[in-house]
Amino acid sequence: MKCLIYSRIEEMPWIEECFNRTNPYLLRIVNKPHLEFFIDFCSTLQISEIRIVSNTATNELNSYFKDGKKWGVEISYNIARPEDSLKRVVLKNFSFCREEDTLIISDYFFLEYDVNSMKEMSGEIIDYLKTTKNKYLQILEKGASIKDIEEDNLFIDNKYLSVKKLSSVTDYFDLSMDILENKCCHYVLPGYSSEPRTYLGMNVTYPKSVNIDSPVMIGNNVRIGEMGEIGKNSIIGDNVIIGSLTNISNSIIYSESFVGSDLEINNKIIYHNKLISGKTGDVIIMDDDYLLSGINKERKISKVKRMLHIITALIQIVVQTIPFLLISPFLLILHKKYNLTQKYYLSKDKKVKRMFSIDNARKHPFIRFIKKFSLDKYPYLFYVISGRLLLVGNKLFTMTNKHKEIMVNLPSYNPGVYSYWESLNQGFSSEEEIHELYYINNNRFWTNVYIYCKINFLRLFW
Amino acid sequence: MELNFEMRDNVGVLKVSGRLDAYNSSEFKESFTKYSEQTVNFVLDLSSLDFLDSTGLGSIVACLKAISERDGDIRVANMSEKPRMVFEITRAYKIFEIFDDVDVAVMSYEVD
Repeated sequence: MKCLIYSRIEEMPWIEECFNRTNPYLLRIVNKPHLEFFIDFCSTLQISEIRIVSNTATNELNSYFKDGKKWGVEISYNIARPEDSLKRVVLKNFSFCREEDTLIISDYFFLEYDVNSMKEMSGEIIDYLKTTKNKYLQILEKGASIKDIEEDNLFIDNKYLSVKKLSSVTDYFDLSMDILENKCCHYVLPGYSSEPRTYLGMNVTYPKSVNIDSPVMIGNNVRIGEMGEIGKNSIIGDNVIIGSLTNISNSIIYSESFVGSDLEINNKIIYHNKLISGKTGDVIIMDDDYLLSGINKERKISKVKRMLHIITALIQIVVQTIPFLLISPFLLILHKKYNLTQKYYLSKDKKVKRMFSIDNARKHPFIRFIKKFSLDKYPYLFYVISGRLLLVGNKLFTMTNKHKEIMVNLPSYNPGVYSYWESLNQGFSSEEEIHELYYINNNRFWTNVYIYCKINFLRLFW
Repeated sequence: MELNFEMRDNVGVLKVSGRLDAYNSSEFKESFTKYSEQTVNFVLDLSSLDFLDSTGLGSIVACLKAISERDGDIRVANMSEKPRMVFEITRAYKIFEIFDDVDVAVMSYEVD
């Protein structure tokens, strides 16, 4: 049997409010991504192949689940359009579904099951799913028509399975606490378990003065300060630092969070600098980094790379200073006629700067001449030295509504004096978003060297 | 780049093999314009496409725009891993219907 999981991401305001842009299917429930529970479920039913279909990019899911070998299954990925119905998704993956019976899981919910009873009763569960169609969970039998797929959420009445809706942060909190307190043996949970209902990850360090009570779950790379108290029903994620004298109970400390010293945390969820009430769902954002903050794992442009950009810009400045000084009187004359300035976006927070631009006079023979020797780049090089631009980066967007829209949609915007878009030398401005997204995802050191050399070469010889 | 075109049930199936990038995107557009004289509904079979860059994808998007103006569509089928990643990172999956089989993609025009 195979399984098709349609991880449809619709607007879930509570996830966005509490967990920023976390992919709902990677939201950790008792330190385990939501989708992993489905994969475990499939694995227990002896399903060998899983296709994960998402209506957003699957790269995050792909980088976590990879080819599925870790779970003893083969995982492949596909994408669907946001507006696709379940039937349409199955049609688009029909060559995957038509060869064998296929379990179809769709919609955002938590599936409650007991892995121990499932091992014995898998035949009964499969028979039940074949006869009872439900949008959440159903089996499309080999040779069956797509028309047989149920698109309504009906009640699942089975003693081995139940569906739990996750429609608010309090649902999420209650579910996590319920699993840790009562159902931890129903699932395969991460960490070593030296005693019942106690799960410890790797590289957990705490002094002898720390007191830990079960049920408790602590992830990998966790550091707890002196005299700390990790009380009952505490779920602590990966890469967490907890300050000394802090008392935690009935709470979830999400991965990559820092909790300060001497704090009392009860019935709360901590997500980076967000303090969320597990009982009411109220969210407070803490501005004081000494109390709560995120442990930033985002990859930033390294200092070495930035230094390379600055050194190359300095060399170019040295080479171009005298030629630029010689042509500057002519540029001043042209500026009076064509206005050789334009407003550009320097960062994603819409910081704008009026800068030199040859766009208004690009067909003028003199501008063509200075472009040939890349002298038009000279004024921008000082912005590289001041750290406001990169030497090679995203296209420097002009202050227009079209560019504003593209910039907002980009995952990151680090404009450069030279850009991938310019290196394409196509002379048209359509599909800019596609080119910028492509560049962001292929932004490597040698790509940037290639872009820099290609643009200067093309300008000189074409 | 190699293009193989055939008509199936009034749908043009265009198999693209090799590389589709800045060096041959204009050739792709020109060939597509020629094929679009025969039909407005297309399935792009990308099973043998080894490399796709943003310019190549841009040319497919430009063809989609042109054919949409004539109430046609381009559906993509059999995409291998690398082109799929380009479709994902550039969010092109939002504008193209992506199938895992050419026959089903051709059939989908009938279903509609």
